Amino acid sequence: MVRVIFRSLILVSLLWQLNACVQWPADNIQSRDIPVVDAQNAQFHPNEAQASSDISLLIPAGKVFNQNDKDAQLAAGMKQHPAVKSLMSTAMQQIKLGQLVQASASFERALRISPKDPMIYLYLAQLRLKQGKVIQSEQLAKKGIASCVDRCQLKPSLWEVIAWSREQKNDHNGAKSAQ
Amino acid sequence: MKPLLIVMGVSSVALITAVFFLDYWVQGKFEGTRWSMPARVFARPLELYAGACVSQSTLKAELKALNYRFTDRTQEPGSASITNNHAWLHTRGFKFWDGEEPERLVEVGFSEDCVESITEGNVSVPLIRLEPLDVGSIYPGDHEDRVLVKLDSIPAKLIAGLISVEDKEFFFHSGISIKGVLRAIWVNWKAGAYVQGGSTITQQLVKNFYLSGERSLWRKAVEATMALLLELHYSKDEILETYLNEIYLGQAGNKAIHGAGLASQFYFGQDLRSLRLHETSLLVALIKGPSYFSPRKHPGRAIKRRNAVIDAMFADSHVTLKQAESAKRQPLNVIDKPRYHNDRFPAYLDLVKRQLRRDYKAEQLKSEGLQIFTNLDPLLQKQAEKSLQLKTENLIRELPSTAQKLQGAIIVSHVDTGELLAIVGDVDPKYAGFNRALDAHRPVGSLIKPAIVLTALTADKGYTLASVLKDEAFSIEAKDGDVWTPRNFDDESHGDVLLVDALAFSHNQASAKLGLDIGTKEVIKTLRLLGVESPLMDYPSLLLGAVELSPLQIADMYQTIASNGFRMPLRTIRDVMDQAGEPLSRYPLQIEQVLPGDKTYLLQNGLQQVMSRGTGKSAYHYIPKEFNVAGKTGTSNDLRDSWFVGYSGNYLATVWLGHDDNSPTAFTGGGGALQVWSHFMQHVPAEPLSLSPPAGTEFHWIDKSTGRLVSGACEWSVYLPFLINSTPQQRASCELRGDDVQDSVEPNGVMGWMKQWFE
Repeated sequence: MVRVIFRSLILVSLLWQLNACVQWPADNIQSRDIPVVDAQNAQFHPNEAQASSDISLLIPAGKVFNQNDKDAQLAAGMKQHPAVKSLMSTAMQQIKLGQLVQASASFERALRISPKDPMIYLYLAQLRLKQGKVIQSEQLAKKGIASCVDRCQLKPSLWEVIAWSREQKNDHNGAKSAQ
Repeated sequence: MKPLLIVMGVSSVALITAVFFLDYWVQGKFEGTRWSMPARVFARPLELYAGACVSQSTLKAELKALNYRFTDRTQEPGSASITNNHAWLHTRGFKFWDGEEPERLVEVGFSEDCVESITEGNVSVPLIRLEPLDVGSIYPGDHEDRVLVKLDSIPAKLIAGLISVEDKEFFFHSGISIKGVLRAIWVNWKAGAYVQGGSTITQQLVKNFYLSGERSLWRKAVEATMALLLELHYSKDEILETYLNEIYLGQAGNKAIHGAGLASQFYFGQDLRSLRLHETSLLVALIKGPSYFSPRKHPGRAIKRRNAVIDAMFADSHVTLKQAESAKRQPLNVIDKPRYHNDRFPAYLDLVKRQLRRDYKAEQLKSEGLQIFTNLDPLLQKQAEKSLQLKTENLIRELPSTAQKLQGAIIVSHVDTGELLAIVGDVDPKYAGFNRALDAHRPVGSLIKPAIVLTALTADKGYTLASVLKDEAFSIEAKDGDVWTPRNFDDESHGDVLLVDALAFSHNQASAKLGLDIGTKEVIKTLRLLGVESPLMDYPSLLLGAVELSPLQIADMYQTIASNGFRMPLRTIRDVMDQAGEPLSRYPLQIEQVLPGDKTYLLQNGLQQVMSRGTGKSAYHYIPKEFNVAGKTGTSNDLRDSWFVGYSGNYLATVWLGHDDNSPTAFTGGGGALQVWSHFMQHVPAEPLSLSPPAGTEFHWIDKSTGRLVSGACEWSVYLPFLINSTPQQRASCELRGDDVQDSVEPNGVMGWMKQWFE
């Protein structure tokens, strides 16, 4: 009987020693799934990719991005960087394919090259409308208007975007005053 | 007989349970480490296009940082050849989430400091994007003190040395090695000392990683069992990788140095991948006893042990005789000042980490292989670091009493997008401690004045830039009964001054009066619109800047002014990409017009006059006279803080200088911080500021002391903008003195400069 108790004690002490000498892990096994984050400033939402690919932009879009079209350049009242034109046309392609987030990135790359180009703000504002970001659409259009100086002729188009954005918010009075 | 069987049965069950428990636990912890590989952080990719203001030397610096080989033949990706005005690049290509940039062979032509053309073959290319520079890693959660390395980036010689010295049979045994134990006994007996251990690498891993404290026979048994279990579940490579990331290799005060990656920085200040034979051998040598063989404390022992490692490698034919001899002749090569991280730009990375932690849960960041793309511009970053170091050294030379105490911080952002381009948090840019750019909250002094001016201009009280204010002594009784008597920096009162001059020359008394007239509550509202979120006390002293903000918060505030009333978050991160190359999230451009553009234009005009006529004038010792900029100096009580915030057409830079212990420096904003700012602007591709007056704005010459219209330029007049229907009506006389007029205004160059600018 004593032996039983003695050996049980050895067993218990073994287990206790085991317990004392190991470091308990703090974490569990990590999941490999990468969630789509809805972070404070993050903008990626899966639904955007399926958004309408109908462009219906307010300026004859096709014309402006044709590098040889002088009329289009004059209409825009701006001389554009070939790099900017290239990015703009990439962005338009991406919009056609429904890749709105990628298009946004392309417009932003264009902005880094020409940060004061009202044309880029005009199209980025329209893209935001497509993305359902009505408030940003209006703000970007306002920035476009602030950038529309010298011989820039885009103000009417920019105001149209603002009017449209306000309509979307059911701000009919605001929309009217924008026209 | 029976009780014995029962006990044996119970013991066996207990033992088996214990083993199963061990097994489960061994796996759990092992998996936990493996999934903690860090997220990699990248600077902005350099984009090249015709017209880009990227000089040849800038391109060269970027290519060098990207580890391009400079050679005459550009046959392989990652090579470049630069001559005269041309550069031939064979780029590596990079898979950006928004499109793949292919590997390319291009010729870049330069003209002066800008790119003139880019051609691929015979075709002109509008735009190319180089690979982004890797600037550091972020360790989610508990591994902040590691530099984790993957097996394929560990030098082969390090592994060879490790195997030769610690566990020759590593690739052959299954966790424990009888052969190893026997050999160890033999070698140690022969050497008469403890030279070799009998534990396998797996056993060492178990001992270091899983178990704690004492050595005993029980421990050995548990250790052996766990080693066998580890080998059962994981491959040799996995065990080796974990071992090399966990092994204890040194001590710095109370900070333990674990892992070869961190040890490489700690001893050699280099990335593990670039270590040579004599250096990797030292790391292996340290395994047996990092303190006993410490290269800094016991260099004699260290070198002996290191050479023993090299000998062992030769004995196992891992190195040739020549390599061994050559390595043994090398000195230890250990650096004096140890480094604790792999980060090139710790201050910037600090904010990246904070923005990530704000927006993500730790779990989400723990996924392996995340790539974080930032707005960091290495060119601007390095220049900001250089300007701060250089100028503080100069200032210290002039005033030795300030040595060892003078500190500073710089933040650079893009005026139109709010992208953060550079952050410096310490005069020593490599230091990763107190990040003053983010965490030093200091009294802002005169930096508050633009908010007062803006409030006055937007208040419907008829204030214009030409409004006359009284710069004279006064006192008021504050709410708590204290009497407040604002004083000017030069202790002089200037009588009647224009509102714009109260700003340009930073007159405290006039500004305080203005602020009291419109009300501190209104000023607070403006500050909130500008983006200041800190608590603001509604006391008159607020008007002299008795509010503490960090350089980042100031940058935030002035960003709204520089973008003419558009608020935007200051962002370090552009995109986060997961291992599959898919975007995890983006931080796109987001703006909000919070202040009227026309009134903000007037403020900006005033801030230009700070530079052309006022307290910011000495910037023109560095930048060309015709180069238009705007800004504001800031000095707090007793010169404890020296601030300058200013912007060109593209860059907004916020500079702070001061002492951590808050003791007085000897510099005003103009004397200290402005010098750093101007030096910075001088050396970066800044564009001149070009403001467009709102429709209907009129410009008039105004008499400085009466605010009335005068007929033209003269010694007492300034050229000011007025919005529609706000031009002063009263006239004053101003004697034009013919040729003398040119002379009298020449010292400022105002007239010529103004005329040139408006035409």
